[in-house]
Amino acid sequence: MKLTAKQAAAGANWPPEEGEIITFKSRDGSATGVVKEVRWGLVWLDFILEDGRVIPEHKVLDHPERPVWRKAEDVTQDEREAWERRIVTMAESGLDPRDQEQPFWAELNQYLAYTYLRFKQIRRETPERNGT
Amino acid sequence: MEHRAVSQPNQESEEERVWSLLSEAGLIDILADEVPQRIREAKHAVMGRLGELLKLTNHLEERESAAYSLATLKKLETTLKR
Repeated sequence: MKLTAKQAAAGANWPPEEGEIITFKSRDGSATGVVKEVRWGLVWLDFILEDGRVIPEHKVLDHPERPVWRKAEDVTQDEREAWERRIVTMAESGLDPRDQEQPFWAELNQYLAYTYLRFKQIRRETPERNGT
Repeated sequence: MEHRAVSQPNQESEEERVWSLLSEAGLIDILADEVPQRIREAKHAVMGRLGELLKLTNHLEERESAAYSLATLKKLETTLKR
């Protein structure tokens, strides 16, 4: 992935801070929003906007480099279990996971990505020996 | 941003591999109509690993964790079907 001049220039000031405006890829092309908080999820960085939308870093235009993701093994059991409880509660409360850019969609997306990576990667990388 | 330091520059190929893996599974940006399919995808990954773990005498913690994740995914699947 080759960096654009804008991406390279953004590097030193990344990630945007609270109150800054970001432009991101959206269903309708692109959209903007004001950053309220920047938070790590189970895999990637999420930008929580003032209007409640949640935008993953890789959808923000002109991010400075290939997004850096967490490794599945860096997520603690407590963090994972809290995340699992939260998304189940969201599902049970009737939130619609198809509402893109909303917190439930964002948390579910991160959870499915994390879970897939965690178990799929291990299968590819670690040949097991029975009983050792 | 404490987690940003966990990846080193020489991990570029690993990052690319992870990106490709998720991209191929459609899990980087789940489309509105594909949520049930993506839950199934994650479930299959867990079930595959759980099948391997059940043949082993060690990895008890991971086995327990995989079973818990599978239960969560099944619960999500059932709840979201309603």
